[in-house]
Amino acid sequence: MTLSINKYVIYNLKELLKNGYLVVGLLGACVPAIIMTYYILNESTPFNIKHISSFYCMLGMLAAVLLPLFFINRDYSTKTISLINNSVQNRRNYVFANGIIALSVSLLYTMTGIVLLLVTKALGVSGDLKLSFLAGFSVNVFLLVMTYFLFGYLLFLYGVRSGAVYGILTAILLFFPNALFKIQGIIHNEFLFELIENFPGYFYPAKVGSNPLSPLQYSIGCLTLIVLFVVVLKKSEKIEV
Amino acid sequence: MLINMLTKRYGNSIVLKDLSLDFNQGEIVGLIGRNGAGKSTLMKIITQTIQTYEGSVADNHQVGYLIEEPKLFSNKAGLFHLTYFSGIYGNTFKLSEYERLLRNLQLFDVLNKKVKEYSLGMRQKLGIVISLLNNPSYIVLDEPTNGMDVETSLEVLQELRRMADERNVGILISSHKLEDIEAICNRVLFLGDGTIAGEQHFDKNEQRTLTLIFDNSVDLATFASKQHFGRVVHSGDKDIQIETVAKNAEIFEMVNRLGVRLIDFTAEKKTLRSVYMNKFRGEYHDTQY
Repeated sequence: MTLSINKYVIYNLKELLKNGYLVVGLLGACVPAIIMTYYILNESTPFNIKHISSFYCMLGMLAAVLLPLFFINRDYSTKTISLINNSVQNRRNYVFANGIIALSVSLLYTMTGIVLLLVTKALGVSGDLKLSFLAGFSVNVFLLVMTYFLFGYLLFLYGVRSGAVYGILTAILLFFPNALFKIQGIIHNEFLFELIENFPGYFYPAKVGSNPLSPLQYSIGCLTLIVLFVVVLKKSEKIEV
Repeated sequence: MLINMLTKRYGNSIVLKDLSLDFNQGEIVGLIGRNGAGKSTLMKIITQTIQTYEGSVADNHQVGYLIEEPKLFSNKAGLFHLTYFSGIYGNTFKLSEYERLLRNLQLFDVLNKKVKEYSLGMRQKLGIVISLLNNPSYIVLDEPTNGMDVETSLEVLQELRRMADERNVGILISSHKLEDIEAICNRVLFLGDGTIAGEQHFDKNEQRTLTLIFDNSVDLATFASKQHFGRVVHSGDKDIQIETVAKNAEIFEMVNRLGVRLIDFTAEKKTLRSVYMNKFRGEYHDTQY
């Protein structure tokens, strides 16, 4: 019995749609950005299109990371994963299938974000909306969602409880970058400053919606993603539930 | 299904040691042993839900399984489970194909209810049906009648027997309810000290334990052994206990040939319970059955 990646992905994407989590997540992403747009257009605030993008990513990225983790949490907490972990091939297929779900969610959030930015620009929000910015935004969302998804997946594989996983992810996506930013402001050591600047836990949440990353940051990001994927795959191949 | 020289360690503790066994399609094999003997570990290795072990397990078979408690989504209906666990393996669940089984197990009418509304016995039965999805060649069931009343247990056991006979499915089943094992198994394996410590076949010629008491001392044990009459379980001065499939007439003929007078004769059918108790209480201090 080989787990069908296609069928698994289709079943579970439908499930996300049916149980309403996908819609709630997208609303969580869009509502702050729409409110910001309203204030920019009606209250003549100094904000521009990049602020819209940042507000979209604020809760949007958290939702985009938590949505694909729903299945990992469900399968490991109910131990139904043991009905899938019945060969090395199926263990790998499960990781790939959930990776594809995370990828699909990241694409959905990228597309929605781009549409939102184009609409708000057309409504008159100031700021340049260059192709390079949109490309950077797309790649950033993809890398952030996949990296944090795999990190959350790894926590589940090491037996961390779902409440703790969601708490940790919320903290490192919403609060941790702020703390690091403040530390950057008070330190005068250039090496330490650069270290924080090029730490994925900082640059992803801090810059995902505002700027394309530097080549070094993209390199570090890709390497982190590969390492996380390999660790998740290897751990999944051996895990006993 | 061939399992060869299986060893499983958890740290310094050896749960299974050089264990080998073989069972065939169409056969129902019981697995019994004390708590912690390694039954669930062995089953998890056979179903490949444990990947780290020494030895080999033939993995070219479709194996369905229910190990420990049934793994279900409490907020989903029974039907969802059947559709989902067929679907993700690329198969389409056809209710008509399973209708008879589901009706016999009294699950058909509750398929649209959420699993959290099911009793333990109903969840067990759903777990068994899930194990039968995707046409497995073998199924491995750990305490399948757990939480079921006598009547329901019988229905489940009958269905399992039917699966083995009609669909040629090989079944490995563990249970602490020895009467369940005895009711449907072709043979039983005793798991002890991390390996198969004994085996009991349920043949058409049922084995009995005979106790013979004589009026004078005679070396019947030697005689019975030489004649391949059965297995001498106990031999005293004037009494002997033999496990044999021999008919009463053959016994009396043997006694006559020896020229001794029999003063008492009892025949007791060997039950799985008695075999198990002897095995694990060490009454006979033997290793072979």
